[in-house]
Amino acid sequence: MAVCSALQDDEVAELERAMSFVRLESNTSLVEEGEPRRRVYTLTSGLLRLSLALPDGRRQITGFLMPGDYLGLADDEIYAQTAEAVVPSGLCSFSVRDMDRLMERYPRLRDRLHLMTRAALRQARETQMILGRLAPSEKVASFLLHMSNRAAAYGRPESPVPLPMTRTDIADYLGLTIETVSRTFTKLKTQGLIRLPDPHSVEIVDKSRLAVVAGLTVH
Amino acid sequence: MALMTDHLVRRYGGLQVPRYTSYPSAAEFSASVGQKDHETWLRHLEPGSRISVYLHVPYCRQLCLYCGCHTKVVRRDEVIDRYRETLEAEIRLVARRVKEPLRIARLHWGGGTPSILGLDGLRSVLDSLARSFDFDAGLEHAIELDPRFVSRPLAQGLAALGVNRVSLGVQDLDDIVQLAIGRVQPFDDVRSAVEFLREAGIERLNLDLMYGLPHQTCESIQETCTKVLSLHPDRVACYGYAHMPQRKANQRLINSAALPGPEERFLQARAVAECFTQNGYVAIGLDHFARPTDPLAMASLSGTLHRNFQGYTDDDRPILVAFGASAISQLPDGYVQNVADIGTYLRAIDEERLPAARGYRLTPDDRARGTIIESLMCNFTADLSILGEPSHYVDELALLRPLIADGLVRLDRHSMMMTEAGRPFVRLAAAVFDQFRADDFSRFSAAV
Ligand SMILES: C[S@@+](CC[C@H](N)C(=O)[O-])C[C@H]1O[C@@H](n2cnc3c(N)ncnc32)[C@H](O)[C@@H]1O
Ligand code: SF4
Repeated sequence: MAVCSALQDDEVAELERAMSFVRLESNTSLVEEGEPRRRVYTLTSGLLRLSLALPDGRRQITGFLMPGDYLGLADDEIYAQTAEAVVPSGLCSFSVRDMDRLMERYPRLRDRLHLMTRAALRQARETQMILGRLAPSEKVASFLLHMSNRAAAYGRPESPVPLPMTRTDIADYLGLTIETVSRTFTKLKTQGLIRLPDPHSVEIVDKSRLAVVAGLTVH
Repeated sequence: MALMTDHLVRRYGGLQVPRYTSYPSAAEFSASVGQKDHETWLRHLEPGSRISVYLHVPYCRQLCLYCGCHTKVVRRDEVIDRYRETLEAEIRLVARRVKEPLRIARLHWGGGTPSILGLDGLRSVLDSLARSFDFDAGLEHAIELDPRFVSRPLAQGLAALGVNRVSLGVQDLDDIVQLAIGRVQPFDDVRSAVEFLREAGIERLNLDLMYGLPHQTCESIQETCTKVLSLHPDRVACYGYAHMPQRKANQRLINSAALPGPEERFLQARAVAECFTQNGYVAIGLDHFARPTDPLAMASLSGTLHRNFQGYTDDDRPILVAFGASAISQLPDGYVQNVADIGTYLRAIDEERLPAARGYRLTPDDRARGTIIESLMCNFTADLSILGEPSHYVDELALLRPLIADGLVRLDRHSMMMTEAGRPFVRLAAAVFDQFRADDFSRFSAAV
């Protein structure tokens, strides 16, 4: 597990003692927005959907957690977002209290977690960049690149990008209609930028040109 | 330059893109448009409007293996007579729904093999048309013919019926290719067909060629072109073979291992273009060539070329009234396609119903996009300002960026143009403006 990579064997052993494993079925929730933050999680398999309740009662999807991502690290006393499993998922978790205790004893762990927190914040910023784009093609292209880059950062293949969530989830996340999301996938496919081998994965055919569409590179 | 093109062909050659003979493409028509809309839309036609008429005859004596058209083999003459009578009944049915009299400025017989109706059959249909419509004095009267069935009497008879333009299906003149596509048609047959037609006074000739056929090579195609040039056609169309064996059973008999790949197809299309342009023909749009004095060439040079279901045309009348199974009408309100199944078509007309099966109702946004796509396909340029302010087409601008980066497209504020290198890829640029309401791509053909 990623937090362990900076630690000595005895430190890892101690961390493992404090760790517990959680399995989640599809569409069950792990934590609710506003709940006191008691545990910190890291996803080992599956996919989680993060969401916020809007004042009018609707939910806004704010992101997706993929294996390797953390939940609750950057939050304060309460969880900032609701997290639910999109597909059956596995997570490791620590109680916040254990975590604080271990960090005091092992400064390297503290540094490590610090980096993780920074990564989580960077991700949130990237999400804002995706959502801040104007054109649907830019949004979808940068979303795909973001998912692909994160997978690569965890040592998994850049492509195909698994998308086990529904088109509605993606539409909700990007602030687009489902029709626009479907049409945009078709447009990107027609231009030879992606392939759609099955409804739940996207093959990135040409990463640099997809980045040009996303507006992330000046060509 | 050659290297760069190779790279682009590898990148884009295998993609599936509509041919944009209409926007939206027929693949996007739906059953939400039917008989009622067709009736209303016909009633909306201004009395006295000049229109084009298309007559579809979905029968052939035998089926060519490559054929992608709506056609069937027919052996019994009763079947043909029954269809012809129904076609005439459809003409009456439609005529009763328009504020008469509309004036036919262009008439096009397509198929299939329309001459299968026989001279008497053709005359009978023309008489029906004449009873319900006016004919323009300068009527352009065109028919698609299969050279294997063009005799001297047929040519004379067609001329007597007023036919003044003929399109002949040549496809390819190489023996091996002809065997592989199930269309054995020696050059002598084509030459005689041309001679019979000219003798009869039908001077305006188009020859259809194809590239991307099994066993074709650039060299074999150049030989075909040389023979075709010796016939001095006014126009030549050269279509890329669309191989869709899932949808066309006859195409399953074509050995797909013998088909040229995307790069080879690209080179073949270019070889054809070079043959004709180096011999005094003007390249028109994507796949047509015409002698400089031909109206199509003049329309192309003056920027008044249009795209229709037959390919390119100098027909500036946007109204097309089509008869026959699978035929598509283009009305000011939108597109209407007749049911393709012949049995269902016959039954509908028997019951005095318009046989409209599907179609598309145009919105102002569709019209703007259609104008841009048509302009790209015809002139390789487009004025994007008809979509409004640039903020209205940010998505299109985003999708154009890679094409601009590849040097295929140039954009100067709101005016867009294909570069010389970009022209063969114009369908990709056009697809940027397509809103793709339907999601099924298997029916489209390769991009080059
Ligand atoms: C209806 S046919 C023409 C008339 C006549 N039946 C003949 O074959 O001579 C129209 C033209 O469409 C083209 N065509 C037919 N099948 C095609 C396919 N699968 N892909 C591309 N072009 C095709 C051919 O060039 C053909 O001449
Ligand atoms: S190419 Fe022409 S003759 Fe051959 S099957 Fe098609 S329509 Fe009939």
